[in-house]
Amino acid sequence: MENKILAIVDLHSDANLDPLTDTRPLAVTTFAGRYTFLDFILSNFTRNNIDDIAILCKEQSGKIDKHIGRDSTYLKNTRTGNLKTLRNESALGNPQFNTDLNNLFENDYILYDNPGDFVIVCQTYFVMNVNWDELIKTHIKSQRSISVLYKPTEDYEQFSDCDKITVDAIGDAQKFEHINDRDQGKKINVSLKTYIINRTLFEEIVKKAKTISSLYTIPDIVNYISQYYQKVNCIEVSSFVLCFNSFKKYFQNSLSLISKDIGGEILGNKSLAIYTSTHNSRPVIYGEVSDVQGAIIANGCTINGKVRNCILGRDVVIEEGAVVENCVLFSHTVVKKGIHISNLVSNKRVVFKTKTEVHGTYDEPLYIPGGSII
Amino acid sequence: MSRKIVAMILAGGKGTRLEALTKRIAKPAVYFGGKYRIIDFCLSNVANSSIDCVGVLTQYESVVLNHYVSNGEIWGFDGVDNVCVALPPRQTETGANWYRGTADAIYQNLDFLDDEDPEYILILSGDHIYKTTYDQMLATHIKSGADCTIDVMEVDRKEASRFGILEVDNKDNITKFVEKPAEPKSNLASMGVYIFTYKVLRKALVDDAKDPNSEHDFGKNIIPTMLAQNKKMVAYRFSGYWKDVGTLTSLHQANMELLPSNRNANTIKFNEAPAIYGEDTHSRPQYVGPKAVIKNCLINQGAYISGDIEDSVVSNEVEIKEGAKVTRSVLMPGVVVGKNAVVNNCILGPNTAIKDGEKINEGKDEIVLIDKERELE
Repeated sequence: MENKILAIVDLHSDANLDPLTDTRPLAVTTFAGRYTFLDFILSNFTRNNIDDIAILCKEQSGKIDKHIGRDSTYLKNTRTGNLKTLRNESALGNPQFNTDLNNLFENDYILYDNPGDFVIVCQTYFVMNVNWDELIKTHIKSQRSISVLYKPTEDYEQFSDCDKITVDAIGDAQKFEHINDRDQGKKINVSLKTYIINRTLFEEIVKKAKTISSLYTIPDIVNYISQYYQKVNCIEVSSFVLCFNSFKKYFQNSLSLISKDIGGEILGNKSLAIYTSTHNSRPVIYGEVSDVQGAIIANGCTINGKVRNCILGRDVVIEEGAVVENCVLFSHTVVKKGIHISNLVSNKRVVFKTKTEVHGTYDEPLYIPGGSII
Repeated sequence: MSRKIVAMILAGGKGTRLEALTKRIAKPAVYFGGKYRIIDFCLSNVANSSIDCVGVLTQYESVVLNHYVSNGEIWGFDGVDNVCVALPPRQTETGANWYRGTADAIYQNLDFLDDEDPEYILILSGDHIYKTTYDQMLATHIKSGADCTIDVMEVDRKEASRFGILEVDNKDNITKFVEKPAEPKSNLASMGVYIFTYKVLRKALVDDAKDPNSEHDFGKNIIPTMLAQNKKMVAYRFSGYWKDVGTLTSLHQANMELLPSNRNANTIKFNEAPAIYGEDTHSRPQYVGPKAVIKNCLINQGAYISGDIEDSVVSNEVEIKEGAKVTRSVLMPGVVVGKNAVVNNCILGPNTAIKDGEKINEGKDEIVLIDKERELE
């Protein structure tokens, strides 16, 4: 990376995957068997040699810290790089004021301690692989002080409940607005709520936001600036993007990774490293009567039953005679002998042991809370 | 800083009988069990014994092993006051010497040991597969007041001539030690695991270094000499799974013994304590395709399975393409088995590519090694 970058991962604007995100922030929700959403964002930075990173935590920041573990998981050099989790402790009892901008204001040292030319602000609920080096060059070429990334698409279902941007002929944002029912079947430019901002302007934004509204968020202030102060450049993202902003989308998008095409786009090939904290799990054991087809499986699993079209997290056990179809099972889930489950997401340490049939549907998947015994 | 015990791991051997697998890496760095390298067992055993200082004596093709050992982070030796260091031969004021034997390797690093100032020293071989902790052995060594304690296990008499064989009295005091005897009089085999009282070993090593007729080997020189000097030497009996994976057949067999169908009370189980730590590669989770068939296998993350595989151990970044059939084989990292290929009773070395439709060892019982630099027919 030619330019020095400060990357900010904004967890204040994270989507709600209720009931999955009742017990943990979306950023550290299990994804694709061995990862979390945060891993994708941070690994994108790592691969682009961006190693000044601040994570703005809204709540349950201990779970973020626990997942990150050692800086060396994501930073190429732990002396020259910085990975900080920031929280606005004074606003914890006053959730309305617990915004990303107030968090930054409270922890403004991060701006002064990290030299840089540009600031990247991004969310974790859009999963994509981008080349930040190229995006920064595009931003510089635009001669604007702010750029926003967008994805042109006709996939209304995938991006429902997101914002869209009206982009003018020279590539500037004319309008940000919520996607609505009338957008079905139309080509829309989805705002990925990911920004590249010149460093000096970003510092001004943080200060200025306070004088406009104490409740403003970074997307709010960008919207405000685009209307009243200066043009916001729009940069198209050509790579594949998945949006995780509801429980149903979490389930369906997770299972879509099992298809070679989508899995290849998101999980990449051997050369596309995705970094994550590790657990020293052994390789997967397949028993003599295991029957597995169409699956993404993390280490530590023991499989003796039938598995079809599933994502299995770490240390999952599928006993002989069990049948598991269209399921996302988090770590340490156990499916006992003779149990048949389908179309569900089980949180960590669930045991399916007595009820022989547990089924959701593809459009209405079941959720099994962590630690449940079924 | 004084330490109670320091571990020294002998990891410099070539492992000639592993053929092409050790062409560019030392035997302890050879892959095992889908995720591990052979030396992971030894270093994990040391870590699980709360020993906080370990030297790894490397020599033959040491670059990969030195890099792998690094600062010992994989096994947790990067904590406060821990030391984990690779110790290849080096140039000193008096010149440069290769390690001339197992005892000489320790002798040439007496300065390292003197700095750590241990009360006891644990000598290990870096090429054995077994799970243990050395706490009880050390306690036995201290309690018995021995100068040297040797880990031993009972082996089949017919196999005994492959090992260093000990004879003991009724209190397990060692009375005789013969390295690879033609006609063994006991079935107690040395596992190549020794605990010495450091001061005693130090003197023995210094004396041995002066002996022009010595091969500077623990089994051939140090142990017999100490016995001849009436040093107190005790056998510590180990019961459990222990394997010297020195040949292709034994390496293949040890891998096969990890599979569910071959498990018994003694075989290695990775999910049971004590844990074995290995490098956790930044691999994707493993992918199983819509037509895959997998039975009785151990498969690491990063593998991409679209074909049929049975009774096999598969490492990270292995790809088995559609229509391929793999049976009773060990696939090391980066192997690609092409469409409709057949692989049977094989060890496929790292990054080996099997072409579409190729048949390797089909219908045969002997174990073959296929290396990435094999001559293609």
